[in-house]
Amino acid sequence: MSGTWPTWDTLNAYVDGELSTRESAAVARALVSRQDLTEQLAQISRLKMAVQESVPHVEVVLPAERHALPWPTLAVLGGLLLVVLAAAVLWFGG
Amino acid sequence: MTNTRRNRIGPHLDPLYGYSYALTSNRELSCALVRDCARTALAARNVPRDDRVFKSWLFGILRNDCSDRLGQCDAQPSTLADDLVVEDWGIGRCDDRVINGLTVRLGLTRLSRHSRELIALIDIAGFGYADAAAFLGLPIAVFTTRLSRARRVLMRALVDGNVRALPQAKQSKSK
Repeated sequence: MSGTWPTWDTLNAYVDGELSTRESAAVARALVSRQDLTEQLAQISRLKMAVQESVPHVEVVLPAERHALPWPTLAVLGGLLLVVLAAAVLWFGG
Repeated sequence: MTNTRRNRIGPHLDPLYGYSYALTSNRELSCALVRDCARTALAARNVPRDDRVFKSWLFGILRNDCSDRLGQCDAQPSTLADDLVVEDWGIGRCDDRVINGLTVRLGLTRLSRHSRELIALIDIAGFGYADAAAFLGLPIAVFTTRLSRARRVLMRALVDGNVRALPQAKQSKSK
């Protein structure tokens, strides 16, 4: 079978839907008279499906959104913290 | 805007995980890689507008991170069984007991990372040949040949009987 058309590469491209309409039609015609090609196609399709099934199922979720505060808000909060600290120092230190 | 980006990333999470798992064979690491990839994409200042470019961009982020973590030791294409010919398959033995999700999961671990990546990009991530070839920086003809070769080697690993799922083992025990 080596050296004859369709090649193994072509059969893979056919299963993957990568051939042009014309090429696909030619492969389909070849399939009619070639049982060996039909079996190879079935195997490639089965392998393709099995590869998809080979991935263990895991629930993948997007990371939670981080709500970063805008810098003016951070500045105000920082200022308030300084005031509280200063008041605490004066209260307990004085 | 962030919600729009989250909506764009969402449909790619499962394919990203599948691709990552094919590369690493490790669930936890794969999940971590996908999460980090999503975080990077969410935090990026600019993202591609075109959906196909956006998809490649996402997978590129994950691929780079994966390479950093796993190293480049297995990055070259395997030459294992490069000279296999199709006639040697043993077609009659290649039924659902030989080719199924579990045997393929085990069989994939016998391939080089490069071969696993070729298969995963097409069969799991849903790339077309042109996009996958561009993603890997390969001419499309080279990509096509390497993909079909990788599938042939995987098929050979399964057919040779080196990879068997549990049901097959049970059957042979009962004989």
